[in-house]
Amino acid sequence: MNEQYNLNTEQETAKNIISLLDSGAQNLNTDTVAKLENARLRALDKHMNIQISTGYTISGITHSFFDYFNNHRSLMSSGLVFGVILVTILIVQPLSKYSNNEHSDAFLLGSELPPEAYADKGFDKWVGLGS
Amino acid sequence: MGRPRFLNKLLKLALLILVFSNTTLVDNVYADDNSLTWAKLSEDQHIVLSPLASEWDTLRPWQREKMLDIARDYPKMNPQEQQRVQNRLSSWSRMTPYERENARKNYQQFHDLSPEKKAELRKKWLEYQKLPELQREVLRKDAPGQYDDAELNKN
Repeated sequence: MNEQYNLNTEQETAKNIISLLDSGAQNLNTDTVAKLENARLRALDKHMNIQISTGYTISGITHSFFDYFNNHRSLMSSGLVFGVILVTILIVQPLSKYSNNEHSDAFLLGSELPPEAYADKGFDKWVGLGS
Repeated sequence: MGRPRFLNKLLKLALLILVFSNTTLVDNVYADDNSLTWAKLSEDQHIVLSPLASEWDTLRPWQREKMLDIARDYPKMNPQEQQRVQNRLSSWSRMTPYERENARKNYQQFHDLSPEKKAELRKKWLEYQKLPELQREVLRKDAPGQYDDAELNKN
């Protein structure tokens, strides 16, 4: 009971303070308003200077990137598709070259049959007849 | 409506860039090969490609490219295979592109055969060579997908 009473009293006091501050703020003279305005502008200036001198933070860069992405969504999507195609080509080309290594002309020439045997269609036909 | 059209244009542009860069690359490679005379080859390339020494400078750029590929793979082969390469280089360079392409396809099939099948084919090749030329000519003409003179002279 006693605790509830104390809590109510505190809330009442807080409301009184807020209404007092509000009424005080309504009746500020122009000099005080100008001083407050000046202080606010100086604080903002100082904040901007800190950002410029330390450069972009990581979160700033991420934020900028997503902003740019949202504004140029179609361009970025096409760029991504193009990038993926390019990377795939770059990866697949050397791999296919490597996998064809055993089938290169050098190994054909070095194989047990001469190249004439592989190129002669008559031999193909003759083998087909025999089997 | 505007976005897909824009995307299409961009993709077409990307495709054009890819094709152009690839063509330029190939042209540059061939241009380099064209200036790659026998005198400019390395000592190792001279040794491998010696059977072609007299005709090297008359070969087309893409033929030189293929022969240089052979020289590149040569060290990976055993001595017996290397000897075969040396013996067969001249006849290989005189084949038409069509014959070479046909040989490559058949070689790939041969490569995948079992050792028994390979031995059988080697035996059949020896037997085939003993046939009279007239009979071999008849077999060639009867072969499915037989190429004519016009096809042989392509490229």
